[in-house]
Parts: sequence; structure tokens; C-alpha cells
Amino acid sequence: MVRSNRPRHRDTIRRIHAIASREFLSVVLTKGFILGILVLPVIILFGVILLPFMMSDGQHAVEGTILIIDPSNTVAAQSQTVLDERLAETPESSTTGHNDDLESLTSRVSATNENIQVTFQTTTRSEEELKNAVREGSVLAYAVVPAELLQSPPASDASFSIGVANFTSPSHTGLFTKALRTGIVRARIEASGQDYAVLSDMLADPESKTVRLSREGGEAPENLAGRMMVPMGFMMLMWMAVFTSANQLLTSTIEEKSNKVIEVLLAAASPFELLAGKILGQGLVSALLLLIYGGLGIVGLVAATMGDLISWQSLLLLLAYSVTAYLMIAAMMAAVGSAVNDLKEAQSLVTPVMMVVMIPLILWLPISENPNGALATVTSFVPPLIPFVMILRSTGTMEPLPVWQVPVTLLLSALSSVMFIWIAARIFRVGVLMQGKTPTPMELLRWARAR
Amino acid sequence: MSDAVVLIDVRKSFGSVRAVAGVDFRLARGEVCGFLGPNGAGKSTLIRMIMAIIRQDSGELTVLDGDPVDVKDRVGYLPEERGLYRKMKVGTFLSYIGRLKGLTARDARRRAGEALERLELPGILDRRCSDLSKGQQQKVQFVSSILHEPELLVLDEPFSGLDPVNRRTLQVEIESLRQRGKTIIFSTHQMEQAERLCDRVILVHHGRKLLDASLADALRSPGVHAIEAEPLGALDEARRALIALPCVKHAAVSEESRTIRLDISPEIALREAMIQALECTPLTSVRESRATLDDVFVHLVDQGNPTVSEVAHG
Repeated sequence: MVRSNRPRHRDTIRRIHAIASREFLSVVLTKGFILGILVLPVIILFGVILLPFMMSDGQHAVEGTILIIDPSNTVAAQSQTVLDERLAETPESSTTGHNDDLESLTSRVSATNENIQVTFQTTTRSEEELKNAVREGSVLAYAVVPAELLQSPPASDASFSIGVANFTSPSHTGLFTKALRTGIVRARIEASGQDYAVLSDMLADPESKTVRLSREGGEAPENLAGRMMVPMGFMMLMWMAVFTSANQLLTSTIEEKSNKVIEVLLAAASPFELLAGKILGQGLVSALLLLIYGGLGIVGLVAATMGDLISWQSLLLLLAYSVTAYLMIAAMMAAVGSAVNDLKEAQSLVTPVMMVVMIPLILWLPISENPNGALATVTSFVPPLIPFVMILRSTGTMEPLPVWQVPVTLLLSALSSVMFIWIAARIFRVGVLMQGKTPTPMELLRWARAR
Repeated sequence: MSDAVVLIDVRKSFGSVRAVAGVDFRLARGEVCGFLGPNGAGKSTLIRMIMAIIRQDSGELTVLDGDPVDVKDRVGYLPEERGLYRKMKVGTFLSYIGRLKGLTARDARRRAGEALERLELPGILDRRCSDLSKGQQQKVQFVSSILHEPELLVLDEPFSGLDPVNRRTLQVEIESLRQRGKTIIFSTHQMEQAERLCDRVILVHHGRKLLDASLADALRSPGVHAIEAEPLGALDEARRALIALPCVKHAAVSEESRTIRLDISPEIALREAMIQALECTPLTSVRESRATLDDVFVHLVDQGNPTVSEVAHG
């Protein structure tokens, strides 16, 4: 026989614990969750490490001659020098360039390949003959460099043309074009009696070092990654962890209602105990996701010697804001889940919720650009945006927020969570037993006010 | 010993719809009580209030000497609409419900295994709920309602959808619970089941109690005034002769028992009617017809007479 004279609060805790553990285990022990947990790091690993490696390694060998129609007979030698220099560059040294346009990136990819053996030569053959030679495959490519391009100054409307076989890869074409383009410039400069190396050094953009100075007297080096990417990473992490669990909460509530299990559960636990257990259980799933992905992110940053971008204060704030973000979103999802009969019906009520919480994603750039601007400040005090906006503002490394805003928004966020859960509990209590048509938002409000 | 369930002037409305309009009754411990009534009568609303799934608008409701919310662990419930987690294994589901009711997972699993064996479903603890037949799912859900040995068991249409063999198995289990002194409320449309199992019946209609009586009293309720005749000759011929009697309102033939049931006008005594029947056509026997719960149910619902409960109770 079950004991009958236990204090009521102990029974409540026991039931919440039972419901929470079922919610947690029903998610984390599924193949989908375990695969999902493993798949994301694998995708990241593939995207960051394997994909560039495979792209660079996968280039097929290229070998042959590029013939140049050049009355000055100087471009071939200069282009050869440029190409040889590029092929001799290591990947690390090649990344120090300032303007990483597509062409230079593709050139760089090819330049790291040891299978490129190309010779530039001047020719006296006609362009028609060269076209046929390219088509037959006896030459790799040809170029026609008009004399006006080599004058000082060159004719403004002059250009050179290049012909390649239609199977030549875009990256190799880019590599040849770049070598020819720079070769022409070098030939032009040498023809005018200047030293290309000296001029090149003189024209190089100087390195800059930006220092951020705070009103309080602090001084820190500019760090775009810290300023923009780390807050975005924090917010995305929070967003993903919160929404994965809140979505699970929505679907599990709908499942229990549509399977009619809800009445069995309500005969064993009160609506409050059921809601609290479900929110707690899915909250643990959210915490697990945050721990796994956050941990992986930190390990990645430390491995990339960028660990200093994250402070323990930022991690504490992430934790605190994530809890309140989860509670607010989960409360809304549970209320919606209790009010509808299937996922299709839920869409109409979930869409407004989703639109609201998409706002921080849309506003990421302006908020990161100006974390103390009016837009950022105002949205920091609007639930349920508070945690998302505040994590963007408070984890950037540059502009410190007014000190009072963090505790005040944390408090406001916590109070909002309590209010959201209170409203959700009142809707949940009525909604779980309701069948029939989907309620309108006004009806939900009426349920919330019902005695 | 105090009563298991006490309702005093309990009322419940949903918007403008009055589901329960002032119901009173007391259910003694160990009683088996049938809640009868047509669809929409308010039976399920009453049951949900007893289970503290919903709260009454007004009136007093006590279950096992306490507020229904506080005694959930001592009450078992089989709702009318069956529900299981489709992808969950039977053992996991029953352990979960057992834990909610205050058992340890191990105890719940052990008890579930024993109960399933009694209900002729051994070895299904590791099967998914979705792999079970409808009847098996219903038995699993029944087990979930008795796992924790509740003092009060509330069964809403426990026999619906069950074949005769499974119905019999469930009946035996309910009988065994009654013998162990459990208080049982069950709502049903199947009058023969109610007649077989109940000590007492409560008939609800339009949210009001029409009848609250022991089974014996209920079967003696006014409105059931009939005799049963067994003709010597052909049934049809005898029926034609008997229906012509002025005291006979209606005559129904039962081919199976070779009898004719005659509804008699209320102003004529049954003894007088029997004499008239014997004089009218050759009969091997004639006797007072025993009312069934079906008769009582149809008669009272047709009449919707709110005073019957007092008559029957007295």
C-alpha cells in the first residue's frame, strides 16, 4: 500500500521528479538525439578541417605551356616569375594577403598544389593557330597582350585576352590570369626603367593597429572576432539549446494530449506538477546541449589559441540568461502545446512566438555594431528578447555596458520568467482537457484569466 | 468507517452548459457503485471531479476523508478515452505511472508483471505499446490503474471494446478487488455488467441524480410493471391473444426462452393481470417479470423524474 500521510510538498517534489526524468530520458535516449549530438560536431569538423583539405588535395594535375602573343617579349618571363613565386608560397604565408577576393583565394588553393607545372612562352603564331592548338590540347592556354597595355601609362581601354580549354578548372584559369595580370604590370614597370620590387614594397598597404580606449581609462587592442563573432556564437548557442528543448516540450505536450495519456497523468499529478516536471525535464536537455556544444566551442577556441576571447564572467552570464530564456520560451511552447490537438494546429500559434524570438537574430549586426545604442538598450528590456539581446551586448569584448544594466535585466528576466510560467500554467490547466477547434490568442488570454 | 466519497450539492458548468447541477451522494468504503446515465449526462464530469482533474464550481467533495487533490496516490483511474505512449515499452509506461503514484520503479515493474500475468498478458513488459492489440492496450491501462493498490478505483467504461473472453478476465479481476475491500466506482452503458458487479447504482441525467439505490431496490423501482408468460402452444398465436387483453400495454416475444413479456397498465394489479392471461390462452406458467437495469434506465431517463431517487432510497 502506498503511504498516505506524507507531507504534500514531498509528494509534489516526487511527482515533478518522476515527470522530469521521463521527459529528459525520453529525449536523450533516442537514437535521433544521440545522432544529432554527434552529427553537428562532425559537420563542423568536416566544414572547418576536411573540406578545405579535400578541396586543395582534390585538384587534378596540370602540366603544359601557355603561349603569349606579346610584341615586347617580356610578359612571359615576368608571368613565369609570378607563377613560380606563388607556387613556392606556403599556405600560411599566402593567407597574409589583405584582399582575399575569390580569384586570389582560388589561386592560392592551386598554388599550394605540387602538381602544377606550367611554362609561359612568347610565340609568333597567329591567334587562330593558338586556338586550334588549345582545342587539340597541345598547349594549355594562350594569351594575347596588346602593346598598348605595356606603355607607360597604358591605354585606358586596353585589355588582354586569354583562351583556355573548356575543361580547365576555374581555379586554374584564375591562377593563370592572375600570373599574367601581374606579369604584365611587372613588364610595364621594368620597361619604364623602374624596379618592380622597390615599387611593390612602396605601394604595399601599411599594417594598422587599432586600440580601443574606454572612458574609464582602459585600453585594449581591436579584436573583431571578440567584438562580433563571440557574442554571435554565444547567442546562437543559447538560441539553439533553448529552441531544441522548447520544441521538444511542444511536441511532447501535443503527443500526450492527442494520445489521451494526459488524463491518466492528470489523475496522478496536478496540472502544475505536470507542467513543472515537463519544463524541468526539457530544461535538463537544454542544459546538456549547452554543455556539450559550449564545451566543444571552448575546446575549439583554446585549440586555436583564442581561449582568451571567453571569460568566466561571460560563461556565467550565458548560464544565467539561458535559464531565463529557456523558461520564457518553454512556458510559451507548453501553453501552445496544451491548447492544440496536433502539430499542424500548433503552427498558427507558434508562428507569432517564433517571429518575436527571431528578432535578436535579425538585429545581431546592428546590436553588435553598437551595443550601447538605443536599439540595443531598448530591446534589452523587452521580454522575451532580454536574454538574447543581453548576451549579445554583454559578451562582446569591446564596449562595456552600463554596470546597472546586467543585474537589472537579469532581475527583469527572472520576473518575466515567473510571469510567463504563471500564465502558461493557467492556460495549460484549461488547455490540456480541451478538445475541438484551435483557440484564438484571445481565448488563450481568457483561459489565463479564468478562475 | 467513514465514507469513501462524499458529494454535497456539487455543481459544475462549462460556460453556459450546466454539466452537473447539484449532486449529492455518499459512497461507503468497500461498496461497488455503478454510475449509469445516457451520453452527456454528466457522469464523466463527476468522475473527473472525484479524480481532481477538474474542480467543482460549488458544493463539497471529499474523497477518502480528504481533498481529492491530496489523495491522488490512493485512487486509481481508468479513463474512458484510453491513452498510452505509443512508442514506449509497456514496462516503462507502467513503471512511470507507478512512480507517479508513489511506488519505486522496481516495485512498479514487479507489480505490473504480476498483474499482467493475472490478466493473461504475461511477458509483454518489453513490448512497445503500439505493438499491442486494442484489447491488450486496454488491459495494460487497467493495470496502470491498480498497480499501487488504490483504496478507491474509478473505472470509466472499463468493458467497452473488449471481447467476451477479455471482458470475463477483467470482471474476475474487478471481483477480486471487491473481495479485497476496495471501493469501486464504475461508469458503464453495459447494464448487465452493472447488474453483475454493483452493490449500488446511481443514475445521472442532465447533470442531476435520478436514482441512488442498492441494486435490489433499483430493480424494484416504479415503472417496471410486467408479467412473463410461457405459452403451451405457438408463441405468435399466444401473443395475438394476450395483446388483445385491455390490461396489456405491450407484448414482447423471446424466442430464446419461449416466453412473452407483457407490460401491464399500472392501474391493474399484477396478480389480476396473471389471472386474465391464464383465462385468455393456455399457458404452462405465468409469473411476475423481474425488471432489469435496462428497464429501470430506460424508464427513468424517459420520465426524467427527479423524485425517484428519494422513493427508491426510502
